[in-house]
Amino acid sequence: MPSPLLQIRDATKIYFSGGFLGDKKSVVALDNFNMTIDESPATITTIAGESGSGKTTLANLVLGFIKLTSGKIIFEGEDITDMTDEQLKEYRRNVQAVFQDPFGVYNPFYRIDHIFDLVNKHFNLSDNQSEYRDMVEAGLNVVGLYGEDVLRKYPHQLSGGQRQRIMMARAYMIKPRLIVADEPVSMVDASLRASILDAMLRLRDDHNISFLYITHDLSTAYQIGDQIYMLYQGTTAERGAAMDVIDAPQHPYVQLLIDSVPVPDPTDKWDVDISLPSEEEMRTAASKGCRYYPRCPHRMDKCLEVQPPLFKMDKPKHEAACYLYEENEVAPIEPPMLVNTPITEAAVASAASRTRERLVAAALVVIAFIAGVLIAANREPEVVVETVLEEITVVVTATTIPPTEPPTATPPPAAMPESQVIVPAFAVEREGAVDKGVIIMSEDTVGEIESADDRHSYRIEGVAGTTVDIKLITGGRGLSGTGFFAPLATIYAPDGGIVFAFDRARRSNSGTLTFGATGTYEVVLGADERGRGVDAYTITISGDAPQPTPMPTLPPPAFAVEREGAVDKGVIIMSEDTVGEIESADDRHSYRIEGVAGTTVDIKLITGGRGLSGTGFFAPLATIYAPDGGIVFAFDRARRSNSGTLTFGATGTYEVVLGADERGRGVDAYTITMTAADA
Amino acid sequence: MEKQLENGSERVVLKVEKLRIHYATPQGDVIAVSDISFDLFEGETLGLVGESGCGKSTTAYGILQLVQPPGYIVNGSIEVDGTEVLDLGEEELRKFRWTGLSLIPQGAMNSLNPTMRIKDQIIDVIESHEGKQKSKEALRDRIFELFQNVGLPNRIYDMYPHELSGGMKQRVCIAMGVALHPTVVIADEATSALDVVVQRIVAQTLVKVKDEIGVSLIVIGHDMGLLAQIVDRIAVMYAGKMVEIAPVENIYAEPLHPYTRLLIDSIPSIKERKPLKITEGITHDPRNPPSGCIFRLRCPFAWEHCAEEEPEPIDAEHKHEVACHLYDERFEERRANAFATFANS
Repeated sequence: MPSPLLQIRDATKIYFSGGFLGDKKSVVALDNFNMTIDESPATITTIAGESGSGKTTLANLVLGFIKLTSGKIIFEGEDITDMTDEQLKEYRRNVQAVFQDPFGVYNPFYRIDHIFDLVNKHFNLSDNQSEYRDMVEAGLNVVGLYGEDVLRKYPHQLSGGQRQRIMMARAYMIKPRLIVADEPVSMVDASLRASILDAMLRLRDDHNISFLYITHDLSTAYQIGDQIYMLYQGTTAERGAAMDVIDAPQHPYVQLLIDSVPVPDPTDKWDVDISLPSEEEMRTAASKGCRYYPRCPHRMDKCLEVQPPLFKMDKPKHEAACYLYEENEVAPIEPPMLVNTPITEAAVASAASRTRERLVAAALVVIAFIAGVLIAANREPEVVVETVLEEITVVVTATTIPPTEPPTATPPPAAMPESQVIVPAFAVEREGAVDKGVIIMSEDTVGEIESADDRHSYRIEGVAGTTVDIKLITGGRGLSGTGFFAPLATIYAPDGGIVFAFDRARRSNSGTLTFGATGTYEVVLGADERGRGVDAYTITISGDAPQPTPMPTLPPPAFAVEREGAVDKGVIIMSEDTVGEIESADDRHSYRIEGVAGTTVDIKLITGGRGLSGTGFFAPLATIYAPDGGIVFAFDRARRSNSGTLTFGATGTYEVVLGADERGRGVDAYTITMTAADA
Repeated sequence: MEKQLENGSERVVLKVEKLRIHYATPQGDVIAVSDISFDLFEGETLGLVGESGCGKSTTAYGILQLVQPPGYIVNGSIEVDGTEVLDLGEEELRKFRWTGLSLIPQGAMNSLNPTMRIKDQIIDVIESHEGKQKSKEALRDRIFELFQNVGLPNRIYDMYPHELSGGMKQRVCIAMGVALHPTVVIADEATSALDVVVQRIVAQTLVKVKDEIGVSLIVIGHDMGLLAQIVDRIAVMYAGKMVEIAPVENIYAEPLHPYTRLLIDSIPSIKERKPLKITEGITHDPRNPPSGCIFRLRCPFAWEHCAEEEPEPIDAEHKHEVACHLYDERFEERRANAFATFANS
């Protein structure tokens, strides 16, 4: 039997919600999912399904962005949740990612060669310049590109297909065993997709790199995929060799899905009109049995009782979870193959030489001892004793108890000289919201907005006839580039009517609201209608407030900068490659600029996160402090690019500080641009 | 649907002639749409296809007079039912939109007003053109009929957009697009953000509504598979030029232009596994297009003549026009040789 590279066993991811007294609600994103990818030969395993099927959740789990609720993910015999820091580092090298958006992962200010320089610095590939250049060239050649054509170009000068192949070349240089490719071709034109698929085939065949290919596009999966898993609402509806499944789908859902792929032949048109039951019916009906029940044309009473297991089909490894095939044999699930940790081996070895009774006693002593040590070391022991015939196997797994995160202190509102304060036409009432002309409602909500019942609510005072600009930015669950987890944000008028609702299909949204009546408006932020929460959000409301008297003449520029590296020509550009410099919560880059009261600057922040993050996951904190120490501007952490306007309230030295995010994650490169707005 | 083309009306409802649209940039004008001409017949569905940046959406926005600065229309004529759209004033144009021409925009799910109920948004479209309606019941029945046309349940009448799924919102946009029975509806990538099953439902709805209400439809897309399912004719654009226009059966059975061949060859199939055909995207600087044929830099058949003369559309077969020198009578021999060599390689 070939040894497995990646094993996923009974993987379940549930997003819990509800208070500890209230009704517990939960959304099962992935339900007892099993998968094995063999070490050799390398394969392309496709995970396909519609929005909400759990395919991106699976990618996030394998990449370690989110943790399983239950089950195991085992890579080369090691459970990834139990890995030491050293092992994790090695795991991150072995498992690389390529994301959907071929533009979002690039810093538009840097040429393409910068991406490879970062990889070299981060993974320390080579100190020798000419050897390193050869490695880059080799990586580019693998994906069908040449250094002289692309390295000195800026991202916008390349096509989407070229940008995605460069991400593949980058991943290849690190020599991973597995690349998680999340919809790598869906934002690229059909005629250019082939080049990306070809690069994947070359990496698989010539360099033994396996792929977890997440897609909703079955035709590309058919062209290059080895195995395919068709997910439906977190469960495997059908799996097998991609060609077997797509040529002859067995599960009713997969049959509909494949029939709905438009065939590029006008003489072979869709013959049946189909319709879907309502969203509510689709989500609620089948909590116990088959999830496809509400839509299934073949549904039986039995389907409502227990979820169907995977039944074997005619072709080897082709399996479908549907009671239409209950005559067939149920497909077995192989037990996970774990490599025991050294401490466990020692325990087992010392125990194995004794008699059965003595063995149990000895083992228990060992367990107690290990458990004691682990508890002392702030680790939570989990002890499993399995009796197998004459042998006793003792498995002790240690789980590090995560340290409780210290609560983030809310910065007090900046006290500005009174004459300079821009009086807002509204005031805010909620702890955590900061009000200084601009109301910023920003929270890290991990664990707080998890279900449809969780809410963050702010009260603001609106004055009739006043207009405010509103901007909402949210950081969804993990890497979802789809905006799928974007929350609902609604503003209610004093009479309870909805006066503003943010669109959920996008991660960033803005608009204008003119208060119709004077009174207390409520801004409510909650999970989306599927009960999916949000990890962080920022709502900014800036008022159409009385303007301070402008300075009669503005010395151009109205600010100056004091830090090496920053360039000042009317535009201040603070840009640095910070690999190794901003790595933890304590590292900081700080700039001093001179602000003149009443002058307005446009500010733009762009950051390049740690390597693979297309998610803004590692976006840093950037804050501007006034001369008196108050915070006058804070960038949102959930996005890679951000902009805003700042009017200096007082004349003096302002400090721009850039640091790691609140999880202590640093940044690889950043650029802050400040441009003097016209007086 | 093909029946309409053969037996049905030959009446032209939209006539686009020499439409040229530029985008002004500090480095000079980018030619987004370059003197394109085509007719849309009554009751037909025309697909407009090409890769990103080929000018297909700009063409649609040009027809609707919605080109945003720095884009501007350089020259051309757009006639809908005999009305020259380019001559209309602001107020006339406002009235003409929705009644003469309407748009189902790209990502239509984001174009509904989140603060207005569905009914109010549709009533707004109707009343802004037809004035205040006297009978609330008649208005409601009319909206229910629209819902039925696009397969939406009546219960969404009082709902807000955020209470609907993406596919439902897309169908609300279709309902609004056809509410005033316009002559021409343009659907700009109306289904591309949807899951495959939902996409099928929305695409089928679009065709059904078109037939029931009797409008003419332009579908803009990049998915050749989807277009094969729903359109009567296809117009292929490349870098601002229209390179081929033909009935859908002809174009899939025998694409004439080398670019159309490339587009059709690169559709990944779910029926047979084929070797991948690798190509790069539009490669020339759009401010400085190559002389002669726009496609010659990527064309496997190009020869010297392609750099010297720009190919004019040639009526190769009935209703099948192609802009390629290979179909010029003067180069017939070359065409036979080129395809033979290509087939062997």
